[in-house]
Amino acid sequence: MNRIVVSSDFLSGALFMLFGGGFILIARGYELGTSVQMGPGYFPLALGCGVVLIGLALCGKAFLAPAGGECAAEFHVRPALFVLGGMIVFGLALRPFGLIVSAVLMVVVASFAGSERRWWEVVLLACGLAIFSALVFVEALGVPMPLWPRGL
Amino acid sequence: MDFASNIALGMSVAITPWNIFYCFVGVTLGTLIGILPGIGPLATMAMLLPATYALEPTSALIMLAGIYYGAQYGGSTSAILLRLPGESSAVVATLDGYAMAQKGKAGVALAIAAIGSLIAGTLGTFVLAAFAPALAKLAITFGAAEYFALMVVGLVAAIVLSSGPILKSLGMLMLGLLFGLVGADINSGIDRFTFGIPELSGGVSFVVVALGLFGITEILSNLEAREKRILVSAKIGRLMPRWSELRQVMPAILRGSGLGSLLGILPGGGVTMAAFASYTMEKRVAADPDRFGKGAPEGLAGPESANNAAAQTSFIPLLTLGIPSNGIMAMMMSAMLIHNVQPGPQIITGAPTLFWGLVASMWIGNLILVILNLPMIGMWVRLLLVPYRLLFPAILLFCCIGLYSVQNNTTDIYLAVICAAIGYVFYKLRCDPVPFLLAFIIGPMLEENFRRATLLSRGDFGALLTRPLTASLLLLAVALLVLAILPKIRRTRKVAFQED
Repeated sequence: MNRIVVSSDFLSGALFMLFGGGFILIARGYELGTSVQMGPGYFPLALGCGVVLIGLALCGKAFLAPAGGECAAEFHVRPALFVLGGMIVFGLALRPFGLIVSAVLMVVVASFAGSERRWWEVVLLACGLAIFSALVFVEALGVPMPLWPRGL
Repeated sequence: MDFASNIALGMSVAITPWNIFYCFVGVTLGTLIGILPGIGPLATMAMLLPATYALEPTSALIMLAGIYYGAQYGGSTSAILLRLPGESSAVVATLDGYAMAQKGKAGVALAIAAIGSLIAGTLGTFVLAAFAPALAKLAITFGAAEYFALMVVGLVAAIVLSSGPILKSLGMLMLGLLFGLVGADINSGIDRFTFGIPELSGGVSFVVVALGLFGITEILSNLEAREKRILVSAKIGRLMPRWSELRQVMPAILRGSGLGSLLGILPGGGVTMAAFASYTMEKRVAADPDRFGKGAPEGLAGPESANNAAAQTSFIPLLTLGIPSNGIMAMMMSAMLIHNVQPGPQIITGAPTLFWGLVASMWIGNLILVILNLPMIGMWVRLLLVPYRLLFPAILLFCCIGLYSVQNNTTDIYLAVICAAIGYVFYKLRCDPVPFLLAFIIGPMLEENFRRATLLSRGDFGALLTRPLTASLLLLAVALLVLAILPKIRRTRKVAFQED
């Protein structure tokens, strides 16, 4: 039984059912309309049902042929945590502190995602990238972004 | 007569100094990211898309297209010199290309790949220029029902020809369609699936999905792999191939160009499939197939030409029907939409300078690749010495800046974080993200045409099938799906993609 639960077929099937079910739940609130004059709910509802059916088929496949489904691969939490965390930090810091500070913060946070890091390297990289992106994106390409902390 | 004047018009657009400059920037950047294995053309194009807002639509598309075929070129460079395929289409080049490099003929291998690409690019451009107007003329007569059927065939063919398991790809496709529907409904104006977030009523931006699913997920998967130490020791040596060597590979180049042009037009087809198909063909027509894998120049020249030809002709479905056939074309399509160019049959007649300018620029771009980049290849390859731990924060930062500049707000950064998390889980579950991306951009059009078609047929689904073209297209879609699910076909697919 354990093998069935961890097979990638089963997990992806379950995920499809979850997403499909979610879309169906929300789409029920929209007007369905008739097949002549379809409302905003018609197409999403039909697609949501399709996704759920595929999810069911995948789960069924996992039960019927457990040997065929490969095991789901190992998830690595560390890179995901620090890479995505770095992006969130960048987003949060950008408006109040400007590009220079948030770029440095992002590079420092993201550097924890790798397996090795040297402090002088991270500091140099963070400063270099902050200056480079300020010059290229804000000064040269004109992306409207605050450069420095508010009030400076 | 028509053909020549069209090409002349295209040249007059593409040869302006600024357009040559953007073409150069595009192909150089493409070569760069092609050489680096950590980042693909799709993510690069998505990152740069917001930066092209200020450009003319033609210049923007010229630059973005340059990134695409420049990456094909760069990808084969690291494949030949280091046996590291920078792009998936370059996997084939690691076979005979690397073997040639080990025999001390790295320079010749690089030159053959470049010359083959140039010839194939020229041929592919001609196929595009010759084919597209005829197809567009046909497509302009299509109604909503035909368009709906055509999109269905395109999507189904894309998943049948992709490498993932069919059932999962089908699920990803439908999920992509659903995510594409997020935002205000065109007919009723009601916000759908927006959770009350005002930034979402315009829909999730394509850049967010592309960067989340491809760019960030790519970084995450690269970080898992232990960093390889790369030694750039290969001597490049003599660049110019001898006349006898050129004569030997010329038939392979022409065969590869032909095959690649053909496969590039197919929905879901594209560069990787063309390269593999050409390698198989070269092996089959060779008098002594034993040489393959041990440095046979034909085994490099054929696939390299095929993938470049396919790169050019895969623009045909987008430019004539408005239907993207792979992830990169979905990217090009969103670039067109952002610049208020509606892809479809009306482009050729409605915006001839854009269409022919883009076509001509692809040929010029290929020329730039051979003349400017080939001699600089040694310098580019040194970039591989930069360790990934220094590279990925830079890529990540550029992604964030790109995401912010889509709408000048940080919401898109958070949305991309969500997309990346979902994308990472799907990547781990071996669900191919390409059908999702294609469906995401086609979704709104598919719904619109479906609703219009059923309205015209008074809600009678059967009436859709009485139109001969619609019926045969939908039948084709069903047949493709059935064939793909049948176990026998599945086995052959497995064989065809075993090296993928």
